Amino acid sequence: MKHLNDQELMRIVQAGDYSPAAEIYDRYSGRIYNFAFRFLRNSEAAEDATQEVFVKMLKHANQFHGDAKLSTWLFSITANWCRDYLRKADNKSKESEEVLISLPASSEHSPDRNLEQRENEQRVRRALDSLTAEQREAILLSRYQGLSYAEIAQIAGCSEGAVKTRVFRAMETLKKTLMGDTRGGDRCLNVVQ
Amino acid sequence: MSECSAMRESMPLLLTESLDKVRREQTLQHIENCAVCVSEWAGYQETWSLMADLPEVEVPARVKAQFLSRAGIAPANVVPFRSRPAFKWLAQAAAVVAIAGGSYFLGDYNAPRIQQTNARIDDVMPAAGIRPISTSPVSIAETRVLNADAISPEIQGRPNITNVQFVDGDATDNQIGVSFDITSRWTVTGNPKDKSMVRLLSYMLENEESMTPRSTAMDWVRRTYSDPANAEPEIANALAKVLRNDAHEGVRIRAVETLTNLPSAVGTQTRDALIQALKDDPNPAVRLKAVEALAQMTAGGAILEPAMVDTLRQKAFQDDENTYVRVKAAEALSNIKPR
Amino acid sequence: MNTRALIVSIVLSSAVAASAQQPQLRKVLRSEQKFTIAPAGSFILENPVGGVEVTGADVTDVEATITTVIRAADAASLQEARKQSGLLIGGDLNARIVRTAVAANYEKKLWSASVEWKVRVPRTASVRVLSSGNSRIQVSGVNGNVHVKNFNGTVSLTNVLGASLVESVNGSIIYATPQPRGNVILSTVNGHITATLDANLDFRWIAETATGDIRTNLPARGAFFGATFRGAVNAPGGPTLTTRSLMGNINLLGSGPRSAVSHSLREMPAITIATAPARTGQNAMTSSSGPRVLRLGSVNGFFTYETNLGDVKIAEIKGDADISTGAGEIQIGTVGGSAKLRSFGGPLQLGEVAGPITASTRAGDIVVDAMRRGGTLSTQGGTIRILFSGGPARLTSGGGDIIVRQAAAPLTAATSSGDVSITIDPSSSTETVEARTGKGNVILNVPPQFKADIDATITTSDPNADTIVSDIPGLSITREQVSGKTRVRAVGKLNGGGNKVVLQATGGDIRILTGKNARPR
Repeated sequence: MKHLNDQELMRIVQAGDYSPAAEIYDRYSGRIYNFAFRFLRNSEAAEDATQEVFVKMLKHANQFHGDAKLSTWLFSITANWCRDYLRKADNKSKESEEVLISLPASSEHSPDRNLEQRENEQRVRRALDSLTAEQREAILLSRYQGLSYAEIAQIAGCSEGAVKTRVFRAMETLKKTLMGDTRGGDRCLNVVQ
Repeated sequence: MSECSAMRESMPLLLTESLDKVRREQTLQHIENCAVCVSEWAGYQETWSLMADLPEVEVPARVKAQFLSRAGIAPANVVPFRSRPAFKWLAQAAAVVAIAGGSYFLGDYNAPRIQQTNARIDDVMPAAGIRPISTSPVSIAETRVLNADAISPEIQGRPNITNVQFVDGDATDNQIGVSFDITSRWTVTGNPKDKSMVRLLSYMLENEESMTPRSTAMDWVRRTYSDPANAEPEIANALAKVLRNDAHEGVRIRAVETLTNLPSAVGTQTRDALIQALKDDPNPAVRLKAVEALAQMTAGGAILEPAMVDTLRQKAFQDDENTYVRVKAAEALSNIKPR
Repeated sequence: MNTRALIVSIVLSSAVAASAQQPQLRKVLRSEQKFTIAPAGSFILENPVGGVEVTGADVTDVEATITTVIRAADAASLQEARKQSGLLIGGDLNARIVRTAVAANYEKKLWSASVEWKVRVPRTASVRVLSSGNSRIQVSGVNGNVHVKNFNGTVSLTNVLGASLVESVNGSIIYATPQPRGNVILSTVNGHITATLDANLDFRWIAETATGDIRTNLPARGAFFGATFRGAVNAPGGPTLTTRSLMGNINLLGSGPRSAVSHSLREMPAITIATAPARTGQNAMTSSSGPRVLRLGSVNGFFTYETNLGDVKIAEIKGDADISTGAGEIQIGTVGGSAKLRSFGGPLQLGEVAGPITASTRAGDIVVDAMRRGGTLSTQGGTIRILFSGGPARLTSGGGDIIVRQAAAPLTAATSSGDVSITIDPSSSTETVEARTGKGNVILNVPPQFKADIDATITTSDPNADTIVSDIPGLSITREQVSGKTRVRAVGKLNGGGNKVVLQATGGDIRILTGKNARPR
């Protein structure tokens, strides 16, 4: 199976033989899972998404056209599933108006490397969380999956121009959040009138 | 201002190398000549680089098991591949591709194609005489399992075959298998900015076991990537890793020297590696060159994280540090203009 | 619309458009804030975008006047600026923490904000101020402890009785408290320090600066330990004043009726470097706080120079050279005689040296184009690169590669970690060579007819990876196990034998190659 390309594997599946399923799963599950996990911010949901995507791939194999890329099609299925999940789930984030209760007394400490890496990870996660779902989808597919804008447009069901705008806005927000983070991403309470 | 807005919209495309040649050139030229956009671009690159800090997560094994179960497929037995030194992996496994890949690309293109029928396919192995042609990029470190029909019977060049194992899973099926490692020579040519070329060189810098090829790769990288037109953050990141991890002091010295000459060496990873080298490296020459590189960066307007500024400050006042290193740390600090 | 009205409206709209393009709406926002604090509590303020003035007063709460000045290109940017700036308040009665938060605005052209704080705190409070900006920080009249950390901008502490700690990077520090009760530490990397205390106060004084001067008009008694002065003013005892400026000057002054002229504590006075070298004989220059870079063109005769800190760059020294720097780079184009160079940190670079060289540095590379009569070069960490060696040479590195492109004389090269690569002069039929590395490869490039008695040994934990290779036959190889490692030894005669060549590598290869030869000079 490993020597067959995606189109060939899908032709076998379309003919009713599911034996390539494991190979296709091995090729794409990592990418699908990571996309879903970063998009939904929930590992359980990401696991469900991954499973469902590959099950759908088998059930609706005839919808796959051999001239397209399999990865694009799989990401389309994943993105649709994730959007449905978000629509159904009660996941509105609460706007927090509370004043910061305590700040670290010293903000100039030098963390050790592991801590620094974990903090960076957290910062990036929080920054991604602050994006709209559409922006997050676009930036995850562009930055972490290396898809072209044309492919993302196909997946997101919008124009390439819309993808370009979403990625741009996402990057602007991320840049502001990650580069302009004064300390720990704390919210401002505006008291200066 | 509207031109700057348009250029900023193109910056993510520049990051993903998605611009056509003309627009890419226009965007780069604008960035080079616009103080605001230079700063913007640096911010974009930094953000892009920071985003890499989000690690890939492994898919839990149960997901595959559940999927296969739902699909009615029994899980296959997986034969684990024996681990071996990275570069030998690279060289030896690549040879398997060479033989298989070579047969794909150099094989008989006149072979008959599969005729489209409505019949059910019972066996996934291609019929005798049919050679599927792969159009996707070849990975140079791929292991393959091939049917004998997929390999050309001509074995050219007397390849070195080692670690041979014979496999016969089912004595009744009249099939035998042979597994082996094989060496072959690859020559990869391309533009210095081709992703594959950059990846290959980065891999060599980080993983080549023998020191001399690593040093040679570094000299070559310095010559090629010192040209601003060939600026590649990935190369700088690979050198940063060498600076952090290499056990060979001569190589670390060369890594930091090479980093100093790379115009792309302004990202977080590079700065992190330089700061760490300044803090910890036992070799004073590495610390010296690291602080000189930082002084050069700050003179060029690079912005350092507060923790890095603190490291420079501490280094300036570290009594047991070489005075020259301390003075250079002070120089690096004097170049910094707060935002 | 008639023509006149049309013209007026066009003119008006042009004026409006023109004024819209004018930079800078300016808005000043003032706010008064009060924060409760315990009498001996701490007030912690972080303000990255403006100055801070803290005054101890007879108040029970912290009273702050915050002046925000926003400059913006237009009304929308002004609104944006207001949204992006604010205060973060936290802590409790014992530690009240306040931070000015202004998002880093990438559209610097469109708006900027600065926030000035004027704060009154209870006298008994402790104060901590953190700033990363360019503005001035002033603290006065506080009896509690004071800690200020800033980047640029002057820090001024006046009548601060408690323990004080000031950490600056590029800013100068002015401290004036006649009788502090606690220890005082004032440190800056690139700025100057001026401390004024009561002339009659007894206290300890520690002063350190690498390049600047240490001056006082008080009777300070003590001694220098390297670049650090440790001593006392007046009688022993009392608080300790520590003043550290790596690159700036330190001044300690006494307040009160006594007002002597301050003098430098350093023994060697600063000397102005002569602009023209002497015509014949010897040129001797010494500097304790001379120029950071001594640059000269051509020097006739013998040249001696010694400095605590500084680079030395000289194009040509016609006689012998004897140069020493406490920390700095030494670059000499050509030396007509011998060269003695010492740096306690910094690279050494020489062009053509006619006489023998003795050069050492504690950190940094050593590069020599041609050492016509050989010499001894050593670095405690760095690469040694020689293009041509025409006399017996000894090269030592504490960690780094050693590369000799053309060796026409006996050579000893040893590094604790790094490669050693030596190319024998193509006209040499034999040469005595000793090359060792504690971790790395040894590569000896020789002419095809090179004669030598070879003794090459590698010690390795991977005998398959590390090998001894020779393009010239004549070596026999033995292996033995020593302390868990494999020692591979190759001995024999090349081309019938000649001078002794000893090569040792640990964790690497030894190669004797005939392919590469240096260009003849």
